[in-house]
Amino acid sequence: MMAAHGRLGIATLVAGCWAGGPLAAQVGIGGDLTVPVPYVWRGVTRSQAVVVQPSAFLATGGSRDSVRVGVWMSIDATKTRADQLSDLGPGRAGLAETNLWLHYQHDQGPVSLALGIIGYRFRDAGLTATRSTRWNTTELYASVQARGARFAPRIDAWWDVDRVRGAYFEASASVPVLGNIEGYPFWAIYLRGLAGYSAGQERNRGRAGELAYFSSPGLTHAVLTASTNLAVPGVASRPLRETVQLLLDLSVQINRDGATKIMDAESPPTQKRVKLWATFGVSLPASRLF
Amino acid sequence: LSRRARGTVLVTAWLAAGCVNYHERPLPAPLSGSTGGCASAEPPRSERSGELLAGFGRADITPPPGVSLAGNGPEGKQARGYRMHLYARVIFLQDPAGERLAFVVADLPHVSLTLQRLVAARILCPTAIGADRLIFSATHTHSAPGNFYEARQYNRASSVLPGYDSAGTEFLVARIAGAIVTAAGSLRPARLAWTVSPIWGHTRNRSYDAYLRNRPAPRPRFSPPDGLDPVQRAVDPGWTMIRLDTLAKDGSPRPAAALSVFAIHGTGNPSENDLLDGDIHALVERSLERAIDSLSDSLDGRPARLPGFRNRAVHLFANGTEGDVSPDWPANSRCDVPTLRPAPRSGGPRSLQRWEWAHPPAAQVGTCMAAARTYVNSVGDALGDSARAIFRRLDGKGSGQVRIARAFTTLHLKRDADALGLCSKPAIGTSTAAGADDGVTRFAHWRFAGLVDVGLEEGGGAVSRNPKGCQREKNTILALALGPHDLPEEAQLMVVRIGDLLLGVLPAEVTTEAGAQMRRAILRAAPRTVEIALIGLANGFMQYVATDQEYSAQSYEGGSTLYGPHSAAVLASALGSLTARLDSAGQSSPPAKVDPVMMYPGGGGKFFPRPDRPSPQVVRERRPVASCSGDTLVVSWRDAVPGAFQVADGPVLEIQDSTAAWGHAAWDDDRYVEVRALRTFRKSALWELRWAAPGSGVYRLVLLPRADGATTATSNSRPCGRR
Repeated sequence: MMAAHGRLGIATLVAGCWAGGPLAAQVGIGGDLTVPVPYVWRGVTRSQAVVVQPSAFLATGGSRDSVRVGVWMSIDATKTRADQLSDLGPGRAGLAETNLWLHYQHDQGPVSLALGIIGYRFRDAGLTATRSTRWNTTELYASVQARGARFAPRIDAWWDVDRVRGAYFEASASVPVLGNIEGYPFWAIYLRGLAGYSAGQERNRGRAGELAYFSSPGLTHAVLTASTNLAVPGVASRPLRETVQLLLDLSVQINRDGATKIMDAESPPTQKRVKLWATFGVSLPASRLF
Repeated sequence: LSRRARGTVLVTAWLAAGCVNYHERPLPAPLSGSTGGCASAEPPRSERSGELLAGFGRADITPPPGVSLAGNGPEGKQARGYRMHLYARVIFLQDPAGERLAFVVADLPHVSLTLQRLVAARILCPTAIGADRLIFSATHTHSAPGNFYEARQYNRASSVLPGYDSAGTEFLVARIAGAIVTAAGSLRPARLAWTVSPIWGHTRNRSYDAYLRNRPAPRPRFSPPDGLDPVQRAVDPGWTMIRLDTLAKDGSPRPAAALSVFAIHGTGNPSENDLLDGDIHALVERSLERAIDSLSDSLDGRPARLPGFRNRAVHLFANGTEGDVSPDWPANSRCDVPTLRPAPRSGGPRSLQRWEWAHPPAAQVGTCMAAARTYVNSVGDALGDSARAIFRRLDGKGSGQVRIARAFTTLHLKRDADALGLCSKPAIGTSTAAGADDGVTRFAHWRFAGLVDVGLEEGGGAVSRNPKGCQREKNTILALALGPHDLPEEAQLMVVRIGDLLLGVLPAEVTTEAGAQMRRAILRAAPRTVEIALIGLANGFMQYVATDQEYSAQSYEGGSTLYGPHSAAVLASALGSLTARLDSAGQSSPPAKVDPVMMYPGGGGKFFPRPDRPSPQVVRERRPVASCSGDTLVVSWRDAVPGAFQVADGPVLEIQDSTAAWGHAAWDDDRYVEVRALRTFRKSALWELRWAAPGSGVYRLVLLPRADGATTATSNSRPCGRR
């Protein structure tokens, strides 16, 4: 697995540097650290352990074209019980997932277009794990977003080109709701509505060996998320000198697909129509490195 | 109560205390001539001198980089350095009968009740002048510090760093009080003359639609020249100047000082400016001061000399009815405001999207800042020429027998609202948050949840569709977020007589037509008055005052008229009453009392840089290194951290020119010099000077020795400048 990680990492870095070179000489660095409770991905509850998810990226580019390359990890910081969900399986903790990604973005006026590739890599965590190396896969993705100052609709499309095959779409829109009209410390609540749609990433009855994230095609789930990020006055990372942001997301999700309804690892698993989840985090915006 | 209930009560009480924590405390109420708190039971008495006496003072009030620049609300920047030094200038007058007055004009965005009362208390014993004889006003530069207000809202929202800064306030109070005491201690026989001249073409009415609502239709105070744009006509162009000459040993007059009143916002710099700066006013002040020094030298037979770091003369440039009057800046001198946009996902495609403020690109900021600097220099020079011409017109017209007097009162706007005819609950309109056209904020045209218009604009949704209640057309949705003591509750008013000139002094930004209404009220009370001028932004700050009709438009000024549509009429009436009292007292000042008032500054903030130890580290090896970028001399060096030494203590640096055997080229108080503390480390900071050299030459920078022990340091020399 390490070899695969290495190859993907080198490939993305080389691609990033190659693509970034002509765009601009300025390179930035940033990242964040989040703690989702529980860890939900594409509407599917993945882990009920305390999960820590650090990420870091390098960015280069100008005001219209930019390239980012980064790494994202999911670490189960606590062990789960037998009746709880986790990527590593009950009684285990540690690194569960690593993603490497390369992202190109073009901003044209109020519209933002993005293309990218993401590699998902899991540990060889044993038979009890819900994710293991056989889930390693790669997706291409594209997105288009209207970057309006007050309303930002967005469509994302992912196409798995490896183990899962098929496409997954998300349509979302977010709006900021002003919190502090005086401006400093500025804060707002961002409301985001999102719907997921599977077009091939569900169970494929014709190909029994193919992996699947969902039970059936079509609408998978819908989420309403309220987010806020608060600048921490006076707390800036040195030497980057960017203001650290505290993040908080609260989500209420309506589950439609069977996979999104599963709320724990009991047998038979409990299924619910609605679930709540939250994400706490700290973020460091992109800062100029050199 | 159960433990849980007790806990809930405690937490609720704690949170509530945080929300209503105004830090209420009384302000001093120093009355001229009173002895309370003085070491001597008898304050210095003003003697009948038989002739007019005048003294002058100047305090450098440039704070260290790090403070926030007030006046532009959320769009203001934290100061990274300075351009033109900030000064408070003082004229102290004593008439033949012993009546005393002190005029102070400071390069500040506003003067708070806190500042005025604290300064008055500090000067009461040495000068016998209290709050009732101190006329303390601001030029209204938006490139100077705030955080000194008695009202919590202004400490919270007038600049980017929220809170009342006690150290910054004390810095200003101590220096300004010191300059007044110096002026009082240097009284000399003087001659005074005054005049009013119209100056057209440099200002315009920024809320013209609201102005046009006035009925009867406004009539210009002076006949405008042909071909002037209507918005340039819709201002008060009157430039009132008081000229003071002191007497030389042979009894002949020597030009010494001037007090000007002219209506123009101090917003030549756009909100992207990150330097402390006196703006347009600084250039006008210096222009006349240099002319006076030069004239004085020539009368004394002294040869012409290079200007020193500080001029000897003082020119106080006070603001008039500038509420709706902007400098007529070109549109390209304004920078775009930040816009909130979805940010790239920091955690890659896996993470939730954040939003971030997208600031205008550096290149665009550079372009608009360059345009603004060019404009400020140009209009500053033009108005400076006007000031010099007006000053010269007063040659030989001064009199030593001018009598002065004042009438003073404190209006308790909130406590006495019903009796006065004001709204009992002050409120900010939504148009205030959107900003005026020369100070648009990032919140302009914001919609709730992206869809619902809540009136964050001038006019439009800022005008209540169903006018009712005392605030009538004002959309008061923002008032929901205000506490009971967040806005100012008192207004100190004064009418000052200087010979046959009357000055109305009030703590507000008065629109052109509201000012006309006030002048009419003063004239009705004293029909024999020859001329009337209004000094705004003086002795406190209660935001704007628009006329009733202007208020109905809910432009920025109407939205910022806190006490409702009758505010202008109430202030006009109060000024009329004061004038009547002054008139009925004959040549003397009528009795006055200075009412006790409270301040509610809210929580504190530590923005004025404080040295972190009693003896801050001195950087012995400052090692300035010069280079040339285009036509700009760039010098960087290590020095003490901001606050470890005071920029205001004197010249920090001098640029020297090789062509005159390393003679003087510029100080760090020059329109083309920008000094910034680029980065601050634990024991030192990286400083940078940028100087747009006016001509080609070989230059070097000399860092001057300072009281903190820093010794002279000289950079390498570099050829630089326009070729």
